[in-house]
Amino acid sequence: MNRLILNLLLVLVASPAAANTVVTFGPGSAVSTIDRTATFDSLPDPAVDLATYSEALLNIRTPASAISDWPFGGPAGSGWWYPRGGFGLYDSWSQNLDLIETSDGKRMIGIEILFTVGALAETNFVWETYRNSKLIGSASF
Amino acid sequence: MTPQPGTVVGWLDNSGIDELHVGTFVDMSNGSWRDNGLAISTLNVDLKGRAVPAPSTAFLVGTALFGIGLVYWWRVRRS
Repeated sequence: MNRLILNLLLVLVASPAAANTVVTFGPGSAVSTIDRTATFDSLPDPAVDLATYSEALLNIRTPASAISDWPFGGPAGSGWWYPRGGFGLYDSWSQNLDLIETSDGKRMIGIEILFTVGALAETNFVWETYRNSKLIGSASF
Repeated sequence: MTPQPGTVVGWLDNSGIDELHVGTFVDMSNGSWRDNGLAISTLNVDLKGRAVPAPSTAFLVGTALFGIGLVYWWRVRRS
């Protein structure tokens, strides 16, 4: 009995809970403490290449060269990250996805995007997450 | 669920994420899809490995006393 209790304690201490990436909806659903924020207030005037864009120690980049644009004719300086056109020029979705990472190598546990695409009734997402260069989650919705 | 404009979409992984690759597309009514540039108004990030406040001395002393009491109780019970 004592050995059983000891083994249970060892299992609880030694193995952190396994977790997969989950998609959440709503403010605070994935980010309980905001450590970094990108507001894109300096975009899109003047337009810049979003293939190399960084803000607040966050890299937010397109897979290929894509100039920032005003979403659906919105005013300049309205604080949007939006590449002109859609995906890049590659063959698969996986190759065309935009990248979000920290620029100093710090690992993230929560990421939240506020998107407000007024001209579209609904938008579908496709995504992948990586840890140590290994795919740890992917889906579309 | 297909997100509506103004929705906050999040990704949560307590083990940590190094990179998020994400894109958007529009599902057409005829079964095909059309690619669509991702538009972000605000991006918020929660980092892993934030400093955890050290437990108070009172908590540590209390835990130690509880452990000693538990051992004492166990020995008395066995004898």
